[in-house]
Amino acid sequence: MRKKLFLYIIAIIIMATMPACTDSGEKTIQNGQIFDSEELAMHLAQNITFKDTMDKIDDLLAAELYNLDSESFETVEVYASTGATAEEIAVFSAVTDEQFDKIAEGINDRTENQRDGFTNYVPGELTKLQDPLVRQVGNCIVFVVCDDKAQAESVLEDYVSKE
Amino acid sequence: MMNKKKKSLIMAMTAIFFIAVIAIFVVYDFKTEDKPVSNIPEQDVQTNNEAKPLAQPDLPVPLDTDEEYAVFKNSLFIGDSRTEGFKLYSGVNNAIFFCAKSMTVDKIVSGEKIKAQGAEQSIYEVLDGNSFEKVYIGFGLNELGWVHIENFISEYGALIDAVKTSQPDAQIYIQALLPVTKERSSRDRTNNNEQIYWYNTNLVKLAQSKDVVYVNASEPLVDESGALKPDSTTDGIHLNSKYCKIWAKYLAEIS
Repeated sequence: MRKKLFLYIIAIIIMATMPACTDSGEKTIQNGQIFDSEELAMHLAQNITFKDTMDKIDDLLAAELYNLDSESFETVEVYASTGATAEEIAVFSAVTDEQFDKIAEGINDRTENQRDGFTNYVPGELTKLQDPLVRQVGNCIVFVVCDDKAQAESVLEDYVSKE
Repeated sequence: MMNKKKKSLIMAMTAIFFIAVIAIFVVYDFKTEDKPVSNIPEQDVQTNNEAKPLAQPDLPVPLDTDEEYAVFKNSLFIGDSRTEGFKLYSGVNNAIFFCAKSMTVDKIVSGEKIKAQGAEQSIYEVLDGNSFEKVYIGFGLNELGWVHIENFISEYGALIDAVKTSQPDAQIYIQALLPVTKERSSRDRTNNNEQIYWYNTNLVKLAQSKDVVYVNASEPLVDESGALKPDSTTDGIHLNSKYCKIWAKYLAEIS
């Protein structure tokens, strides 16, 4: 009897600790969809209309622009402009809840910094920075700054629906 | 009685062992699947063998001496939005950059702080915290509209003095103000090539008076008229990725 009780207690302890083994963030990966951030970013860069020339920047620099360290995301793809405009594309992939939160914070920081930078530089760019596209699709967070947000959303939805 | 006690003890120790194993899994988050690999370049992985974050904002990455941009190792680039573009697209990743949109020489000299090396710093803090072999300074674009060019030259001179004081062994380069496209020059009352030529003439004199090097990297960037090539820019002023690399390569050759 005591033996059985002892075993039951151990089993309960083991079962109680199991959920803490993982923080997969599965509850925040929308619909369980997994996208390739590189392909997604390239699709956006090729299909959204931008005024400026958009080029991919180094991952290290991309993380720096968004005040993120390497633990804050799984992958990052950023297409930036020449500096003449505030236009930009950023696609981050994440697996944990903490990463999703940090990425969102990084996007917020980037937007604020760009607003500060363009205020006395090219004030006309502030319009597109007022309401940039920020969306989570599956395991990715997408950030787009462009003139036509509706078009950007359409391009994104088109990609997501086909995958 | 003793056997029963022994058995209970063994079972208890077995249970503790399993709990400890589970605890180890929880603490170290042991994963059986491969984690997606970040797209950070392999050279950065190799140069960060200790347990440091791979993304180290603004820290120079040592390159082999035969690397194309080895000349920029232990260098500091100070400038405005054009220098920002250089930082993003040139491929130079072994230098420190102190640059920002709308940055001007007077703001820098007054100690305005911007993000550099992962922290908000003034130029003085960056200079005091590092030892540089070369310092490249590139201003003038945002000052083209100043009423008195003397103020620009005076502030620029003060910046050079500050660099010299902090970095007595560093070679200082004043970068010529790059031209704009012919199209931009023809319609812009401020950002035009006549004004740029006037500013560069004064920068040459400043370099001579301060005993620093005036370097003009515009040769591969301009057309036969001396204006910025039309395909190098969207707005007639800021270089795209391709031409930032050309700029960097030429600057490396003439530095």
